Amino acid sequence: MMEAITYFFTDPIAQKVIMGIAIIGAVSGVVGTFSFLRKKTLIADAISHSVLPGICLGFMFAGTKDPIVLLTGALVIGWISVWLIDYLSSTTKLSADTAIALVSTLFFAIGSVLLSVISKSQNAEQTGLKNFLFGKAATMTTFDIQVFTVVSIAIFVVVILFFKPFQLVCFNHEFAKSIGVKVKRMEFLLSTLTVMTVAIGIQAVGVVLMSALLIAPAASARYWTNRLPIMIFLAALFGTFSSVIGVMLSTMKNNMPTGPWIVFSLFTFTLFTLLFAPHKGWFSIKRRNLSNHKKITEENLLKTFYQLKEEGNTAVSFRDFLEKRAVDTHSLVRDVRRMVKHGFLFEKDKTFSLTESGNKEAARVLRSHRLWELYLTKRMNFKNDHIHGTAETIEHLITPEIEQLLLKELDFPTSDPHNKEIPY
Amino acid sequence: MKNKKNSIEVHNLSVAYNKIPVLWDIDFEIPQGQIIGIVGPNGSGKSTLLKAIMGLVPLSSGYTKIFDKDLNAVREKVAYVPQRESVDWNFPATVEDVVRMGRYKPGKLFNRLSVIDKELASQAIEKVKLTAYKDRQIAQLSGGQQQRVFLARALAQGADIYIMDEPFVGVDVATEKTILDLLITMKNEGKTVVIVHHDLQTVSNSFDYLVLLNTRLIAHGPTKEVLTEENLQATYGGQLNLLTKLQNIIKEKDFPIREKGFEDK
Repeated sequence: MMEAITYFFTDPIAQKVIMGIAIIGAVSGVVGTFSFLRKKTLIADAISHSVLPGICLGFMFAGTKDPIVLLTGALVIGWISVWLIDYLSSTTKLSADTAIALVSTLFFAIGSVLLSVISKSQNAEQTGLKNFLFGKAATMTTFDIQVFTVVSIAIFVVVILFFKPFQLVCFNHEFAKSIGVKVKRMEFLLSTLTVMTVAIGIQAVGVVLMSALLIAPAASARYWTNRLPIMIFLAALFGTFSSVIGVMLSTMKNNMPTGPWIVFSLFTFTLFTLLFAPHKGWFSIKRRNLSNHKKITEENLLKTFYQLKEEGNTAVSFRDFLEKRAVDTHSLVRDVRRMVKHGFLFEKDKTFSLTESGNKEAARVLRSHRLWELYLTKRMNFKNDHIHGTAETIEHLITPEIEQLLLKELDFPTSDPHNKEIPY
Repeated sequence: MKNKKNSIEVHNLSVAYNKIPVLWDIDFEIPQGQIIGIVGPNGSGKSTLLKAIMGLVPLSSGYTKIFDKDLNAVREKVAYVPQRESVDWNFPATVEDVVRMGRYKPGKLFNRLSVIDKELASQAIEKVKLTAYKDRQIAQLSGGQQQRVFLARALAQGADIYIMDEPFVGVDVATEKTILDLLITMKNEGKTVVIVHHDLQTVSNSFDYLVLLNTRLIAHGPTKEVLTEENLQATYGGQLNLLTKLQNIIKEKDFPIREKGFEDK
């Protein structure tokens, strides 16, 4: 393993391939972000399938794997596919997704036919065109990588220059048009960038899997930030890392196609994001649910102690508690112990009572509960027998700020709708 | 006929959506420096009218002018507020990001925003009372707050005429009041405000001038003159049966609503 990694960073050919795939990954992340935000991810997939005949035609025209001719072929055919999808979905009754599916499969079929024609007339192994299906980073020559780097830099420059119109077109194209942005031209430019990115990426990633490199980094990046510039940067970073790791893995596994390994590492990144992203990640959501649940349990516990105190019971045994509020015995014992530890309850002869701070906290919860019940009856015309259930939940949500508003609105009441005293 | 005080002139305008005509021969002028309501029931073509004025939909016939000129000549004086539902609020942007878009100018899209641009955006945010929320992600805002973000973006444009599509839909009372107060301030500064609105129950007494619309123009004029029982009946009393039937035939036969070369000027 270590040997393999040192190999990648010392061998000059491997270094070049890594450099090449790194920049392709970055550019895919950047351009993919705009496809993702315009909800045109299916178009990106269609383009990557559609450029295959372009590559084949380029090869037939030049007779060699000249990257400039192949890129031009891919670009022209890619454009045609975008135009055709647009034309079909705007002038016929076909929906956009149908048009995309029809065009991408048709173009891919044409590409496959051309591919077999080429391999019949020449040695398929020699042409290496088969590698365009699933990608093989190691087949990129120094010249290939130089061409790809120049194209990538051009794409980066365009994105930086056109950042504002792109942002406008992605967010609100009607507004963009209203201030005089040439929306159609911008959309054409964005499609062109996508086609170019696909064209430089397919040799390493493959036409079948290229769309993953456009979409997955952007989809992951969206989870980590709410700012567009940062999202673009993160997508570039994810794209680069996934591609580099994918290439390393594929080389270690007896020179298998690169595309699938890049997709695996992209998927790992995405999975990691879905699990661990702040706020929207699975763990974050779970943690929030747990902490909400804990807050509700603890506040209900203290509230019950306070209610028992109101009824004259100041030294509460587990049995007393369970008679007042039916909960699971095991969790009750555990929760009570925890509240003792936190200093809200104290124990004496197997009974429990509220400490001063416990009393204060319990009074606050009960106050919220009763204020809310009052608000429901007075302001929202709820009937007396309908208010308890709602108040049971809302009491845990009322912040000091809301409490102040309630107090003012209800003019500092002293008793709730059930004529119970509101504790202050 | 031509009055220098006109803000918008709509001449013989017809627009078809998916081949169904939604606006028939609309023809009116509206004054400057007032709050103008374009009012009609759902599906009456109000939003389409605004989009036609903003050059966002192809016209079947007619033309529109703003301040007696083509839209392209006066674009910098016009601020358009699209419907709130027309965008995806999950877009990665903060309140400030969106409002600053109001300072983007097509000729200068490659330049960075100046200190003055940023200051104007901040002032616009202050005017709609969202300063405390300026770094919030726009998805985390309430519907009313989102509507105010759109309004702030228009304010940041510093236009003379504000064209707003349903700014009162799905907003809370606080936002409704904020918007109404702002509209009156804008009017007092000599701005023209054109608002598409779907009913006359709410906020209508703030309109100085009304355009009543239901596929065809019902009436237009100062609110007091236009607001008659008869006009309201015509606006809200359902579609014209015969017209609806004809619309369906046009759609079925794929028929044009204007013959080529027959443009009445």
